[in-house]
Amino acid sequence: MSTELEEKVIDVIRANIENKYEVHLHSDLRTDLEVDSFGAIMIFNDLEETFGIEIKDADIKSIVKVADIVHLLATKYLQSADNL
Amino acid sequence: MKPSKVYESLAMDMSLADRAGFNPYYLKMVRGGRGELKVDQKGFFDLASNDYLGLATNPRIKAAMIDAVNRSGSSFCGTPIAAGYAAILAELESSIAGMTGLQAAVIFPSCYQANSSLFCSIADANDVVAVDHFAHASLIQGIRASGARIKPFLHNDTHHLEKQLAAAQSHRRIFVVTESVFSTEGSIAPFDEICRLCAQYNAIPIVDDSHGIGVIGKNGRGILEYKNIRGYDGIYTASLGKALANAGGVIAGRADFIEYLRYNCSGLIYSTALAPVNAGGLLASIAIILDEFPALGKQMWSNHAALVSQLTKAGFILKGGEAPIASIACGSPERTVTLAKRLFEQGILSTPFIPPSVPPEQGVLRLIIGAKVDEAAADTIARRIAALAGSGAP
Repeated sequence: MSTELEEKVIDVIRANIENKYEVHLHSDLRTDLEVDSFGAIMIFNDLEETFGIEIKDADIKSIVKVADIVHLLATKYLQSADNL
Repeated sequence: MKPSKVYESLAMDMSLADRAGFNPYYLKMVRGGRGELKVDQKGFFDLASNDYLGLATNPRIKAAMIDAVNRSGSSFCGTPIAAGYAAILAELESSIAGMTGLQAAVIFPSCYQANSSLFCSIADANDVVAVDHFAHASLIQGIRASGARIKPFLHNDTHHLEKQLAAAQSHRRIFVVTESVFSTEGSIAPFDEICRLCAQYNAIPIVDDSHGIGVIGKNGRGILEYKNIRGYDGIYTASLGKALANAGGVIAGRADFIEYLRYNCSGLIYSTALAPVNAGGLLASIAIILDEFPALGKQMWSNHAALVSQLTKAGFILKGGEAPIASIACGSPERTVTLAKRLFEQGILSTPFIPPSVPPEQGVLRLIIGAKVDEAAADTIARRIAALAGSGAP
């Protein structure tokens, strides 16, 4: 069963990709969802606005799959449930 | 790092060309007859260049260029702000402003230079630039260099753009950037709706009309004519090396803003001005377009329709844009370059786009037939494409 954070992240990604592919936690941003570097900016801009946070560029570089974003947000940026 | 290691790390990976047995880039070309090029002395139909109206071999333009050299020499050997602002450049600026219906224009050595240096003159970290996801690299490089907050929006998606604009209202200046015609797939921006959103959200629209000027609109005047936009209060840029068949770039708009750029845009101030030979040719190109676009445009659209029909019959999947650009969806870089090779073997030059020019696995092979060839040549091209039936669809 997915968590509220997982659902929110998936919703943000779905709203910011050109092709309306199914988005899952195991989806690879580049190979499954065809997200290029400019597309990634769109996704992370929206995540920042949705959660009221500022994500460091260095943290974005290691992201490969959707689950990596959920893990990053949960462990580094959203320790407080108030952000959800 | 040792210099040898530096150069090693900068070496080009040519494995894709090696695997395909063909490198479609940097082919050494010699101009043949109308719509024809030669590579290694073999004749090819030119479906690769952006010479939409077939003006690159026009005798009237060639004569105008020779005349400009005779009158003004090879170069004024200076920047426009100093000794390089030839009278013929001022004449060209007026001509382009008149063609597009804008107050004033300023000429750059290239559109890449115009786009990449514009944003540092108008925006900084206090500002936001919303930009179409598929905008040209020159625009993106310029926006990034300015330090402004960059907010891409989904391609031609005005709902997504409106969301970005609503979220940007606390910033000082807001700009919205798009191309008119997206040249890899031939789609055309909903620029009338974009201008309406800009007015609603106090943003300034910026459009790159490089593949629109001389191509779209009833009289070939570009995106503003095509979308029937009057009193445009935004910024306009375009390449002069596509349908206008020459070189250089332009920024046009309000007269007071263009005057500001003349003294504040480093890409203009510190570059040697466009040579008189180019300005002379461009004046002739614009005169021809204003006089003859109905006939030239008719030939361009007729050739394009025949090409699209033949490609579809042969089983290729086209991107389906509104502009006279036929883009075959190929998928992987390997498929894209391989299809370019198959066309090359049939004597047809095309333009393959692979990442990073396009998103991953969205390779495209572009064909622009324009008015470059007559009906007999278009028939020959169609027969050669028919020979490739079933070989290109991903």
